[in-house]
Parts: sequence; C-alpha cells; structure tokens
Amino acid sequence: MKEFLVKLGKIDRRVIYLLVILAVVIPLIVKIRLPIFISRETNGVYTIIEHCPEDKIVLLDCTWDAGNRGENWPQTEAVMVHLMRKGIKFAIMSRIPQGTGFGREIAEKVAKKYGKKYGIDWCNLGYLPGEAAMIQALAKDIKGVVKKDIKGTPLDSIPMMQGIEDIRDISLICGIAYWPSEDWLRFVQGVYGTNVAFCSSAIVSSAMYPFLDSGQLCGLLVGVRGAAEYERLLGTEELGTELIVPQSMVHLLIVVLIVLANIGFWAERREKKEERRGIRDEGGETGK
Amino acid sequence: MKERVVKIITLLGGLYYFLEFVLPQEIKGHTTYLSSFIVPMGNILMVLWAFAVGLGLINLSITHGKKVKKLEPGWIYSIAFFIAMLAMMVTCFLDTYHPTSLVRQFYEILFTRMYMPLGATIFSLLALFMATSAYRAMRVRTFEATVMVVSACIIMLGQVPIGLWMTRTLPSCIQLPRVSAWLLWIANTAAYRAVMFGIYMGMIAVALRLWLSLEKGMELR
Repeated sequence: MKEFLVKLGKIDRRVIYLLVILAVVIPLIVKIRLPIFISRETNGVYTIIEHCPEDKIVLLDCTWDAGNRGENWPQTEAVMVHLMRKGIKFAIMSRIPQGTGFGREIAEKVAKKYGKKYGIDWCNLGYLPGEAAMIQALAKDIKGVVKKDIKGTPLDSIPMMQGIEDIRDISLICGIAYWPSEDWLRFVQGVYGTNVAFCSSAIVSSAMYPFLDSGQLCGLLVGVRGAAEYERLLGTEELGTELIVPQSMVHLLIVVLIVLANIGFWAERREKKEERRGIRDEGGETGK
Repeated sequence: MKERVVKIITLLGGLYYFLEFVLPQEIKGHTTYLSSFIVPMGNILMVLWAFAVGLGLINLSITHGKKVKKLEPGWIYSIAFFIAMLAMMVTCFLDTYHPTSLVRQFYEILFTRMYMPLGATIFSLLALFMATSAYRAMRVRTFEATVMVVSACIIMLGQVPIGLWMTRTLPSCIQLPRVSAWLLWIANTAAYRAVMFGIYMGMIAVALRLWLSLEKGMELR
C-alpha cells in the first residue's frame, strides 16, 4: 500500500500527456452539458454593448493569431454576433499583421448569417503599427492615421465611416488579444473616458482584475470561459460552449494530478522519516 | 556628433510626448500647438516601426546567410528560414497586387494549412507541459505553498463549469465560482496592485534613464 502511495507521486510524464489528450478528445466526441455561471466581468461586456448608441461605432482591436485562436476566436465571434444583432457598426484593426485576417474571416462568417454588408455595417482598417504612439494619434484623428481600409478604399468613401473623425465617435474599444494593450486604458480611457473592454486569454486575466475593480475596464471576457458565458447570455451555443467542456475536464485532471502528487510526496516523506528513525534506532542499539 | 544627434532626438521626442500628455490643448484660450502634431508624430513612428521590421529582416538574413555560407551546424534550418520567408513574401505580394485563384490557393496552403496549425500546435504543447509541471511543482511543503496550491485548485475549478457542477448543492456563497471570483477580485487585485506599484516605479526609473540617454548601451559605436 505504502509503495503504491509513493508511486502516485512518480507518474510518468507520458502517462500525463496521454491523460491530457484523452481529457480533451473525449468531451469533443461525447457531448456533455455543464451549467455555466455568468460572471460579473462577462456581464460587464454584455451590458456595455447592449447600451452602445447606434450612431457611434465600436472599435475591435483583434491583435491575436493562430497560437491563441482557441481562446480569442470564440470571444471575437461572440462579440461580433452581439454587435451585428444589435445593429451596431464596428471597425476591425490589429496591432499585428495576422490579426486582421482572422478578424475579417469571423466578421464575414457572422455578417453572412445576419445579412450585414461590408462598409455599411462593418469595415476592416487593417494592420496599424506603432503601439502607444498610434493609439494616441488614432484617438485624436482616425482618418489622419488610417487613410484607407484594408481593401484600399479611402475611409471617406466607406458609408459607415462618414462622420467618424476621432475617439468621440467611438462608443467602445474592445481589445481582443492574448494580452490586450493597456495603452488603451492609459491613452484613451484615462484621457477621454471612452469605454474599454478586454477579451484576454485566461492565463493573463488575473492582471486585468485591478482595472475592472477601478472601473477603467467596463468588462472582461476571460478565455474560453468568457466566450461560453457570453454565448449563454446571447442564447447561442457556438465554439465557446463546445470548448469549455474539454477545458473543464483538463482543469479537473490537473487538480486530481496535484492531489495525487501530494499524496505520493507525503507518503515518500513519511517513508523516509521512518527509514531515518529505523537507522537511528539501529545505530542506538549498536552503540549500546 | 552622431551620438549627440541621437541623444537630442531622444530627449526632444520624450519631452514632446510628456508635455502633450500632461498639458491641456489650450491654456487660457491659447493653443499649445502640441496636440496638432500628435498625428504626424504618430505617422513618423509608424514609419520608423516599419523600418525596424525591415532592419530585423536584414539582420536575420545576414545571420542565416553567414551560417549557410560557412555550412555551420544547423545550416539546413537557415535554408528553411529563407524558403519560408521568400515563399510567404512572394505569395503575399502577389495576393495583394496580382490576385489570381492560383495565388489565393497557394496563400491558403501557406497560411491556413501550414502557419495556423503550426502556431496552434506550439501553443497546444503548453497544455501538456503545464499539466506535468503542475504535477511536479505544486507540492504542499510549507504553509505558503499550501495557500498557493489550494488557491490554484479553487481558481482552476472555479473558472470552468465543472466547478459549479461539483458544488451546485452547496449554499451559493461557497460555490467554487463565487470563491474563485472573490480570490480574483479581492486577493489577486490587492497583490497584483502591490507588484505593479514596484514594477512601475522601476519602469519610471528606466524611462528616465532612456529619456536622458543615461542608459548603458545607448552609445553609438
């Protein structure tokens, strides 16, 4: 029994890899439904979009690529579905070259479903380098920074961009990235008071809570969990709802592994203690 | 001389952004003129950014080129770099300026069928490494370690629906999603703010050193 307990702390890493793979694959094959708790941070994003005025646009900063597709894709899709359903116009931009492609792909898919048109309901501003300097300039004069959209059409010729001059014409900035840029808070929310919401990966979300608590961020979608909660609020079941189940299983597996590792660790510790005590006792007897 | 010019540009650039941020657009009805230059300054920086990307590309080409020329160990990977770079570059150029169905197909193969799965694979490997490292590292040795392990388990389960399902029969205030939310909103926020105070103090010091060109390594050789 003791040996078995010690072995629990020494499971081969290949067995763990296999368990992780099974925990991901099985829920994708066998459909399992789990209850979803709507968090305050997800509700914040939903509420702010619900109250966005129709005469202003929403700016989506899609700064993510293939590596973070699993988390940022369902988040982007959920936010776009909400915007298109509400008839709120939005512009996509990205701080990395790959981001605009992903944003466009999702927007085209959602637009097709809701009968929305490019240039009237949404547009793609493309890749905007320059980080903080670009953000500061964009807030002052959008058309001064972005002269043409990704297709090369001048912004003035795009119906939805007519009358959109600076940050006052933007009702919400939604930063979707592995780690959304805090420059939106420093140079836009702090200066102009524009609403800012973030959709981040789960691993970095703990860094966003101070901004939520201070009211600088009006909402946050945390990884796939945020997307699944948002889909629940929208009454849809898309990628987020599908992916949250495998994620749940992997989290549960990791917790179980941590418990097993600690059982093994304590059993080994006890065994070593007993061994030491045995050696001491033997030494004592020999001494006598 | 060159060094002095760089230092003066750094000082003026930093001073401009600092004053533009702290001063209002107008003081007693007189414009400061600072905000009128924010867009051209932003555009200049965007161009500089593009130059930096170009410079990076040249640097990479020189490094890998030398490796191939001297047939140093791993030169085959340098050839892979050149092939990948050129293939992506040419396809993107053609797709933008000469879009045909063939170019589009090739672009789809490179980007959608190769680049995207590769990126996703690298990130997916993290899940496996995280599971094994959590298994090996999260040991209850001390009181502090116990607090960390317990908090981590609560957050891990509370952040996903299974946590709610497991504690659904308990009173709502002690259900895992709520305990996890308390940890994130209160305990984590306080600790993270404390850490950030320290980091930002350091960042201010580094920014000042860079602005005033006191940082080592800023000298031109």
